[in-house]
Amino acid sequence: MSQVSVTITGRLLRLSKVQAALKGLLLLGLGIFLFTRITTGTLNYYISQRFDWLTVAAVLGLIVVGLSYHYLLQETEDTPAAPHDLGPERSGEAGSMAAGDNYQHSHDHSHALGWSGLVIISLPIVLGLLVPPRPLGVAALQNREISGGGLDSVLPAAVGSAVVRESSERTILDWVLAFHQGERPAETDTADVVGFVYLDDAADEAAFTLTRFVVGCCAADAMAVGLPVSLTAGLPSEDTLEEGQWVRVVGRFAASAGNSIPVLLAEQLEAVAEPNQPYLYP
Amino acid sequence: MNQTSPLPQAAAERTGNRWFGRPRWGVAAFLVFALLVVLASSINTPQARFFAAERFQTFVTIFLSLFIEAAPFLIAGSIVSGFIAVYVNQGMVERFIPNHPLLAALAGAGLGFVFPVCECGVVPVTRRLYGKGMPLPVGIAFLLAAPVINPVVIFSTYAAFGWGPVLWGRVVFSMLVAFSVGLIFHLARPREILLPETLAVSSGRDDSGDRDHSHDHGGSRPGVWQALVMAGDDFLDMGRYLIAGAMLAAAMQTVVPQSTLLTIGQGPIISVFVMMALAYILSVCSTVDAFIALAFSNAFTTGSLFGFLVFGPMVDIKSSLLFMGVFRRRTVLYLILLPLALVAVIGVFWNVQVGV
Repeated sequence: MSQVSVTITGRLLRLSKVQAALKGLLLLGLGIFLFTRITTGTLNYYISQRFDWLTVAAVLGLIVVGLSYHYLLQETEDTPAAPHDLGPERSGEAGSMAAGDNYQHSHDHSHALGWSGLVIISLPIVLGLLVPPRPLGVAALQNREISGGGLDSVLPAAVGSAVVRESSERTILDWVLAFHQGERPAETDTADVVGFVYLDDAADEAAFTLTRFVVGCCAADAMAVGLPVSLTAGLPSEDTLEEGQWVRVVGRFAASAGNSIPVLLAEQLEAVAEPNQPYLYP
Repeated sequence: MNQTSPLPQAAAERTGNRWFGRPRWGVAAFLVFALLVVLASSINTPQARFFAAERFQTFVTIFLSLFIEAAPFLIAGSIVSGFIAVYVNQGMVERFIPNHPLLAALAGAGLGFVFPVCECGVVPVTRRLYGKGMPLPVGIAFLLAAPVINPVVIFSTYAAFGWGPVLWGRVVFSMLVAFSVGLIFHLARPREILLPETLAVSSGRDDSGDRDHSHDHGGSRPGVWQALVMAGDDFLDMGRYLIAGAMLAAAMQTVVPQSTLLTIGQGPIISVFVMMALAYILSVCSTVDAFIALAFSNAFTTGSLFGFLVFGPMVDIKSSLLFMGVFRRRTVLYLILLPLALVAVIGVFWNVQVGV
């Protein structure tokens, strides 16, 4: 019995009108999904700010292409499903979902969308809706190194900006790059940085590593940078800090021997909301 | 003639593909998904559960970031492909592509300057051009070279490394590898290399007018709409490989620690393979991989950087899945292994002999 229903849904899926409608809706759905990432301000959890315009272009492209199926629908209403109707040589596979992918017309090519294709294409939408959007966090550090002492990358543009920027406006990345350039912290330098708390991997004298991800293109290429932070008296102790919590730290750097990244002695520490731009860009 | 003879073979292909073909990638993607769900739910201590959930979150973030980053390029490539389908006919392709195999492979390797596309956009364009009767070597050389041999990528490599061996080495070696692999395919027959669907676009090749050649969904609609519908079909065709590839790459990134990979190999030979493996797993777009390579430039030799910068754009998890939508599986394997071998030889040779 169930086989019959599979056959029916298989046939239904194969109708050219259904195909055109599904494809158009999927493309529109993907376009709208990307659009919601822009409007909710979560787009930069995934890609670098400087590629935002590409996503806007993709939204436009997907919507225009999706709408073009409307014309296909209108046309098939005039000539009902004839070209896509199942020929005798293919009727045997009509019940197979898998065959939907390889569905081929003698003079058409296999653009038909089978069940598996349908599901796979809608996965970004489904996962995007089911799993609340979050930027990379502590869990992503489990298989990455924090580039503090070991950052060998020196991005020219970032170095330029670090030199120009006032010390209080420098980000974690600016400081890390500056120290890598051989700069030593001056007495008057006050750091005012925002990042999230990472409790492992901190140097002995530090309570935690204030961490931020640096993204060149998208979250897939994220690198972590971090500054070791030690807490001066009067500040909440290490135990009260939650891993992954976003904090703002104001303080000065201690002169440290050996390690190229000096410890930041926190004078102020306050919990802050996750910034709209969770990543730093080189 | 052309339309009747391939049919029995195509039918055989279909039954063969039913179990081993593309749907299997859907299954693979589901397995990855299921594995991660099981991983997330089967752990008992609250802390482990927290991390498993966080890891799943990380997986989703990386998966979506790869998809969102690649989608504009894929839709652009699909639209170009749709317009090629409608407005370029076979005669034009034949006129512009040289006949001599050496020249043809060379032309393919340089075609990226005409169609500046990255590794996602290049696949639908290549598939469409194959449908228009483009010779095998040209398409393969184009497919492998275009992600590097285009103005955007050359500029970003320059921005990262400046003028120097890394920049020109990347360009020259990419051309060389793409050209060689393209040439190797000169002797092969398209039917053995390409999926029937890729060829099916050209099955009506006796007609000179391409506008009405094969698409029954063409009809009376104006060419632009026809091109856009084909672009949509292409995007959905290729999109499923992109999505499956992005899931695999994201799963690998979530599970495999980068540091183990990097600490395994420092020798002149192993380091090349490590960097190629890293490029394969990371699956980042060729427009920015130079900046990632920069992060390794002090720890790794120039030869192994070539492994990353030359091999990575040609083949990675994402693009090898995209290849599955154009070529037969055996060909996809060759398209992974041939560049792998050639780039490995180049990288190791550079490390041992030049050593800069």
